[in-house]
Amino acid sequence: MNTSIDRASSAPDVDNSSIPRLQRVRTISTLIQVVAVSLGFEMLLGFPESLGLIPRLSILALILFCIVLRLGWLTLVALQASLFFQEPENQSLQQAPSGLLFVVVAILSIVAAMNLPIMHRWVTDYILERLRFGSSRDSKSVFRLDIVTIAARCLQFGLVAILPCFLLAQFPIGRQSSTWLKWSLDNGQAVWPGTLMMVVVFGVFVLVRENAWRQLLPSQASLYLRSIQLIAFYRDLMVFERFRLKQLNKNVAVDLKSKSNLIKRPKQIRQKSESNEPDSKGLS
Amino acid sequence: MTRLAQLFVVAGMIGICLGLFRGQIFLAMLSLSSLLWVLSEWLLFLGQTRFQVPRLQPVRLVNGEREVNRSLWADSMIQVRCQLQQPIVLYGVTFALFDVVPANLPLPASSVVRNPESKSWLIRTFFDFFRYAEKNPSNQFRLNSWRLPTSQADRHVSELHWDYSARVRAAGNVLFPGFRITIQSTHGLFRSVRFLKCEQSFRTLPSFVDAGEYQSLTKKSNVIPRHGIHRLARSGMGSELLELKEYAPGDPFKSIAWKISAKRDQWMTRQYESEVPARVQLFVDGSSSCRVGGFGFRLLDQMTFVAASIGRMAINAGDQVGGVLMDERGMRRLPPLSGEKGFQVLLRAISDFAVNPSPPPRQLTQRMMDAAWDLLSQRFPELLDFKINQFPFFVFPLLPNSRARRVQRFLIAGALAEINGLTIREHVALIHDDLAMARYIQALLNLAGIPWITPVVSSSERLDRDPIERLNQLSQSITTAVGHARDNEVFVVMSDLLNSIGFLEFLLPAVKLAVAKHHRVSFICPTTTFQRPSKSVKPNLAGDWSTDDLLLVAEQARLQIQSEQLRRELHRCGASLSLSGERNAIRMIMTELDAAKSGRSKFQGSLR
Repeated sequence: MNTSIDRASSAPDVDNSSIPRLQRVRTISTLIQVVAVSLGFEMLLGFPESLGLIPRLSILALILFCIVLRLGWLTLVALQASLFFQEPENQSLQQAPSGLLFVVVAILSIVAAMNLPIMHRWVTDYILERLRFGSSRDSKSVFRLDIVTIAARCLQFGLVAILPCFLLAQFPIGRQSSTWLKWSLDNGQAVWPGTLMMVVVFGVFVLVRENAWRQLLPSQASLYLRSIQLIAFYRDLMVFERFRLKQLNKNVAVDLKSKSNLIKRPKQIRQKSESNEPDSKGLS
Repeated sequence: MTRLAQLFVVAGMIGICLGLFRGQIFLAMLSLSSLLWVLSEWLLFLGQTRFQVPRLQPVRLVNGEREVNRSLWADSMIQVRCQLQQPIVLYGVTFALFDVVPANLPLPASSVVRNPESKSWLIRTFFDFFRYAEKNPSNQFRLNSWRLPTSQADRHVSELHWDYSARVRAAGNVLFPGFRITIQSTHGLFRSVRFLKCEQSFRTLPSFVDAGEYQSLTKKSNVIPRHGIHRLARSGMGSELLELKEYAPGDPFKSIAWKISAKRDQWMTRQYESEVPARVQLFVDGSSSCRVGGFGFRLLDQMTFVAASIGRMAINAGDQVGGVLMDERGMRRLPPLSGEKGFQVLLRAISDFAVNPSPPPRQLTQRMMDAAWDLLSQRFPELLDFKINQFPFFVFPLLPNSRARRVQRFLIAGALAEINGLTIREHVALIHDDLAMARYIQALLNLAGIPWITPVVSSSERLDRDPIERLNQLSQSITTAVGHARDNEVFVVMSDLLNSIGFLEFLLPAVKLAVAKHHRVSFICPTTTFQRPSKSVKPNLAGDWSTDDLLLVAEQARLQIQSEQLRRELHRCGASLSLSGERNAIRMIMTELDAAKSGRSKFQGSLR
């Protein structure tokens, strides 16, 4: 295997005298990356009538903090919070396509936050490779990725960015909602988005259920059917079972009692025979 | 779906609602995009698990062999190599592969073997083995697995393999159930655990002392008889002179010693020694009390070692070895065996006998439930999925801990019902009946190769079988052996008699009968402390004594008293006794065998 990671592991083979220099380069590259990300977000989140400088910087610091700490979900929450406080309300749907770039960068930053060590290593290794070998070395060897993987990821992020625009365009948002409601009531078409949503949701639900069922192993499918059956008959069977256990415990108790009687019996018999002695004498 | 993915979904849903409500397009778009991203990751993960995971076909080679009909030896090291044969293409998947190791194989840290051939980063960096699950630090219940983690950096792997070595603890069997694989999506949003069955069961033969290690304590005869024939100091049809005696009518004329008769002026005849084969009869008592403990630490393990060693030496000397294996299930009689083939038959019989049967029933405990949960999570993870193993809604109990235990019980009951193919009514019984649940959990743990330790059996309850029944069985087997025996046999009785001293009257008549029939009877009572009780051990409580030390001393003192009593009782009957399952016991038996071969009537029995 000759991947970029191979080269990462071979980095410590460099001469010992160059280690401080390499560490310095590594630190500088980290700083450059962080500054680049900050500038990108600052440009993207720069709404004209937004908060003051300090709150904006605070939010930005929070986002960077989340990225550095590899908290992808918190990065999303921080971005949502920044939008919640900075983005103007009742915006027009016409602005949706312009948000494409922001969405792509935001999702990529979340992904980067979740895979920061690997990406950090890639970037620094690239810089180190450039410093050590100059531009003569083919940089493609450092980032040798599969075409299939790249294509799949590009398609994925493209769809993730474009589909929201398409989906949001189907529904009235903000200012449009009141005009759309008036229009739809006038034309008697108030339910069509609901119908569309129901069809989509039902279709997705059927697909997901069908796929989940097909994914099951035979033992899982059997257990699933068993558990459904159990839920249906549990209450009745539980009563029977508790009754059976109660009877069983009672029998055990009776058994123990009879055993204890057996142990005491000789004494009782003796007492009885002693008490009956005069009668037996009389009978004889 | 992992907790991380759940957080993303929740954040995305809240963001969409807020965005739509307030008309913030960017917020709605970002939230919807994050949801779609999670959805796309899920679809990718589904594809990976569905199409790529079935291609993972791990293979295990034990000592370089894949065949399961080969045997392993107790107390020997084995080399295990696990490999993925099929080429794997794992796009963005992190997976960890665990080889589930049975309890009969302890994994020493020194047995980690790195792969020197591989030069990839993956192997050098991540190719570290570690214990997977050690739930209880008290070493009472342990599930061992070794794992190989790989990452998405390893995209094209043609073959992965890793080696480890382990020592087989005891005779019986070693069952490798399979591999546990954990697959995780690129960003850790989805995770799936599967168990890939790759069952390999090996019979483990008992270890034994090499032939020739012990020398006989008696002087060998000058004339060596044929292999397997021994000179007995009784008159017979042998070739060696035993004695001269006065002529009696009926003696053959050819036996008259003419020169001696002339010197003594009296008719004298020669008496010759008899030449007979000697036979060893092994009586191995594998009752419950002998099977308690971890593999390698059971009394039965000491017995199998001694039995195999005696068998090896006797067969090397040309003697025949028979045996009776007995426990609660009944008796199994082995015919007199000789030669290498006979020795293999003997070892196989002992090995099968050393496999633990169903343990005696006990009360259900929380520890037992936890052990079952651990085992099911490891070997049947797919059956503990909440979405599959559903259970009815319940209100009570209200406390979180109690609710968690109730849920655990429902899930375990469902998994056990599915594994054992129970009906719905039996399934419900399993939920409510503690005894039924305990029985099925015991069976599950026993089948998984967990030894008879807590929680499979109770540490507080004594597992001694009814001593009268046990000694009656032993007595019956000795009596039957006497009936089948020829002259001059050595009976080696291996049983835990120390706890049955009060009931020896059920056994002693059979011993007296065997001795009266000119057989030699030796008893071996292995002790739990692995040390012979010594008179010199006197507890001095002045120093710092740990609880274990005090328990050991107390156990030694108890054994000392009981062993003295047992020795006296057996000595009166003419039987010898050894209180260890160690090499001294083997030496004592070989001395007895030597005495039997030479025909000396001198009693050899003593406390060894």
